[in-house]
Amino acid sequence: MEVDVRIFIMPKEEILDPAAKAVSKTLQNLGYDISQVNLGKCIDLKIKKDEDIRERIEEICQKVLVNELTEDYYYSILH
Amino acid sequence: MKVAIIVFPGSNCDTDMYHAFSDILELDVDYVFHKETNLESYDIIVLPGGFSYGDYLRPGALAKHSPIMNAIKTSAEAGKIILGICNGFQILTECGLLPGALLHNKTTKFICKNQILKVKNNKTIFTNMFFKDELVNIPIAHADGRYYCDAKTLQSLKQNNQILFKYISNPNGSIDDIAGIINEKGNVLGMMPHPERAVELLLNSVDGLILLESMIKNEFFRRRL
Repeated sequence: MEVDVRIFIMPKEEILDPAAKAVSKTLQNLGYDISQVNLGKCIDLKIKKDEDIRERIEEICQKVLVNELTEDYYYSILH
Repeated sequence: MKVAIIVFPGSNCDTDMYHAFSDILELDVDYVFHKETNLESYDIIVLPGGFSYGDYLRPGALAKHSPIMNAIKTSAEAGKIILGICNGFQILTECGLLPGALLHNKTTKFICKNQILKVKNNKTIFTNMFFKDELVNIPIAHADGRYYCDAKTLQSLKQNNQILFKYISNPNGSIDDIAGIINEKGNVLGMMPHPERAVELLLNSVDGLILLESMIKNEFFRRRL
């Protein structure tokens, strides 16, 4: 059986993200009361569901999808 | 002495690099496609600039899983000379042969212009024909060239003299103005500026040629030992 997995990848807080800064500035210029914007990626996977599923998602993230030096990630398994 | 220029899907500085090594330095050069798995017959391995795999996910993130990468890691361990320029530098950090990461430029712009760099360490395979603290002119062309590493890594880069080039006027927000670093062993160099674009007077600078010649001279003398 396959399940849908949604992975969120966000730049680490201490790292300057010029894209997020540009978006934040634009929103502020439009008059919105925004103090911070974080821009990240969202990746959906369809993956076989078995007892090792979390281990495999972690492996996929650490090996390919995420650079843990600069990014954090979390995911949810959608049923 | 044989040079391999690795060609990933999306590499676009491979022909410039070929021109520098083959036409100008008159060496035996091959393009090696990223699906190959053997680099035993080569002495110098070059990862050229470009946009491997369209820079999808992160620059270098997909290229690091190309079949050729195992041979590149084995060659690095064996002490062969590995040179990663621009996207090549990004691939070398992604695959762990060099520490740190390259992030989007602070200005969010793609920057293509000449840069004055300071040679911080001239006692390496790559810089032995420069003077210490010499100022050299080598162009950059990148959107993701902001070198980043954690404080501990930066300290060890400094302690081991692994920082070879620094920008005089930091164009991209790189930590400590870093433009190029080597690994601890000293045989792997990654740098954002393009030495292959500074190899003839027509290009306004020959400072890149000095870097390539340093590597070749070093390899020549190593072979005589």
